[in-house]
Amino acid sequence: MTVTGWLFDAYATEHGATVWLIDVDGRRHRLRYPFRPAFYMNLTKDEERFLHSVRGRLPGEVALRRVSKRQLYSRAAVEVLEVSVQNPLLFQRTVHALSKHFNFYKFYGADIKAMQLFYYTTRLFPLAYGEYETEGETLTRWTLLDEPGSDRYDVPDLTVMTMTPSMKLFAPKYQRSLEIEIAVDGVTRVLQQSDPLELLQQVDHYLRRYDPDILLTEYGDASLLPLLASLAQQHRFPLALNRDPEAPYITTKPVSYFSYGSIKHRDGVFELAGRWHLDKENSFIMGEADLEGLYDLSRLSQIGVQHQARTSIGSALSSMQIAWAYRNDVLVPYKRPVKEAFKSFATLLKADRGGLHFMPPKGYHEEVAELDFASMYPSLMRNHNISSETIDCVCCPDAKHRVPELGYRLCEKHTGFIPATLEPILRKRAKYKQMKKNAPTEELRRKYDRMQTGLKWILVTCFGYLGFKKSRMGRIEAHESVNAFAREGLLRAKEIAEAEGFTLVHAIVDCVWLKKEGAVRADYERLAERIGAEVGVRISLEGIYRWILFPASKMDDDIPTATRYVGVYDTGEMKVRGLEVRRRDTTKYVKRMQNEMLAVLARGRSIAEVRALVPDALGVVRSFAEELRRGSVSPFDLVVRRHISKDPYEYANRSVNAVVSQALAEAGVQLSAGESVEYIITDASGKRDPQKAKPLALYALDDGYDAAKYTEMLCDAAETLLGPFGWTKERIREMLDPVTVKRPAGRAAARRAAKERQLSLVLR
Amino acid sequence: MRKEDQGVLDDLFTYAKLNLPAIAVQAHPVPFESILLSMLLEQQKQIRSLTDKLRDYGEAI
Repeated sequence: MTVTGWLFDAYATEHGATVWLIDVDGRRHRLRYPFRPAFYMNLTKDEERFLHSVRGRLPGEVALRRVSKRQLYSRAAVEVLEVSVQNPLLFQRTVHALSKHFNFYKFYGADIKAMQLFYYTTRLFPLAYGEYETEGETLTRWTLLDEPGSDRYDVPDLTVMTMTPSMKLFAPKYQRSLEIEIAVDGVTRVLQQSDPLELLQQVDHYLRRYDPDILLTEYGDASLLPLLASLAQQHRFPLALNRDPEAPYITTKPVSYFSYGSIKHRDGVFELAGRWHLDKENSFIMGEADLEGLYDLSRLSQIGVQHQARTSIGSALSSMQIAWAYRNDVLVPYKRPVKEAFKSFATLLKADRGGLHFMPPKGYHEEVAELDFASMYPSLMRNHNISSETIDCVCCPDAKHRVPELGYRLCEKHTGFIPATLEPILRKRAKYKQMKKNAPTEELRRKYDRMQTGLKWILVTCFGYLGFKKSRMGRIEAHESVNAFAREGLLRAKEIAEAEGFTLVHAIVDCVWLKKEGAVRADYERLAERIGAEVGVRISLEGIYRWILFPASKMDDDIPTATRYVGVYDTGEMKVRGLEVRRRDTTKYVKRMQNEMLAVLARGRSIAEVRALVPDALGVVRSFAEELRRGSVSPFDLVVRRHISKDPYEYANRSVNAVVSQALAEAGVQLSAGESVEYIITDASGKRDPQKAKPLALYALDDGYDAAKYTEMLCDAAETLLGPFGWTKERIREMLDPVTVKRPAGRAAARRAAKERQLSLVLR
Repeated sequence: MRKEDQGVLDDLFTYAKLNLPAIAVQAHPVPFESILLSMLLEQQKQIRSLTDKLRDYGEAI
């Protein structure tokens, strides 16, 4: 029989893989596919004999055969042993058992998930459209009428059932009892948990009646599904969460981990078989790019949709690189065997530098233009063939093409795997941007925008992954090279602009801010064209600002910061980066005030006009501060959100984070490091109320709030915008409350003391 | 060091901070040279701007 339709879901079973298809008439087919995941080993004769001798003691039965493959770095052909595991569920355990006897560099492709190997070796991908041949319940062959990189494709009509906690104010973990809201086919129902068995029956009823393809939840991973599954187990109730009654759930435990200097937390995973469970609260990419972007990414990365939704965005790129290796018969290293090459101190100093940036002159500026390089880092990797295996390659000892400043050679004979994987993404994204521009309807425009956003995130990660210590195919020298080219590119852009009479106001990594008396749009566009041609990366005029503000650093009033600014374009549109309104840790109330102030200041078309609007902006601060003092602000607008860096009882101090997380722990809420807490400050000093702050979940209206502390936050945010006009936060506070405010001994004195301490160290 | 001098020294280090990105890109093994040059640079900028102002002032009267 031939099934014409889409590949919907695939997962490993002990006999191979189970594959779900949806045909063009909307029928769902469950099929088996005989699949044996394999890894490779490069062994000596003795080692091979040894392998044969332990073969019988491995967790699963394996088949051995000699095959010819290529090495990634040397490109040399090599004969290796293919070890295919008969039961895919035992793949990891087999590798683990063998890794006790052999060094890790003997293995290839051994830490890839069995299901990923299924996609790589069959070259199928999620939502692939094609003609699938079946014999009974077995999938035998297929002809794909679709490819992962295609930018025009159809998606089957999928039924969605949403399942959310009906009390949305806090995450379910803060709630004692749980009400679930189910919406399907335009009808919403609230299910109560008074009797667990009844709840299970109701959920099961809807699952069986509507048999949804997608179960879309909020907090499904962290709370809802684990809870339902454990209730079902307690009551021995056959709950139809999975569409495949024979398959188990795919679950992982929550983890806290350390990344880029802070503790992060990731919820556990609860994936289903034959049905997708997508949790909006546990998916970065759905927040950025919605379902369309997720499908698009999944097709391109060959990672199952449920898994792609939860995994970090870097895995998509990793997966595309591994897929490239399998397509080209290249061995994928196990546990990143390429360590950093030995370097002299001098080279290390030169090599270990990031992107180039300048310091903007503090304060307000007018008639400044911004020029941005488009996808600068990926474009550089493609243009200069920068890849893990192209740097100082064995095939081009006399390469002319070298990395500026560092002198690394770049391969001139073969395209590296990184440029090869980036090319289709760059092309596809350019296409989506084009389609977005030409979209006839607003709905289509948004759709293409979401799809290009999904791809943007791959491009953003492609550079970092080169330097990431756990990335299998990354290499630090490639990472350094991209930075070196980028620094050179930005510097050239600056030189060209200056030679043409423009003044450099500011520049960060891939954008420059320029100024020239009397210059108009066309002048900047001409300049962009020239820079683009000379640097080899497209650069375009982002816009011309009526005014732009680079505020002073919060740590030191005398110096500016490179990445915080706000400006108003000549179109009236505003661009804000790094200010309080954009920060996640700012309370809603402060954000609202700063937004209103910005709306006032945006009316000014020049610095002189902005200055004339300062009294109006101060009026906004005053009205917000008065409302605070009257006690009439809604506490929900005063919620502070912070990540906790430790488990509640690991704190040695009485900081607000500590008291709040401990209060929650006492109330029975389990929190671990890296999760966020939400609270309202009741007494920041801790003098009146040693509790300092109340967690949102335990807050009662008569707990009140610390008006003085919140006023301080308002003044801080106001200073950011008005500081250049002489309105420091001390002066603003004095204006608000001339009687009770003490003279500003605080910060200036503290700064001086700190500087004195530093000084005494230097002079000693 | 006298208290009135400490503030002046603070100013010098502020001048260095204004050139931090350049100092970082320079990546000199002993960054103090770059720090001193930054202080000189900022001072020279001030001398120039003051000289210009004085000249304008002289021409005006």
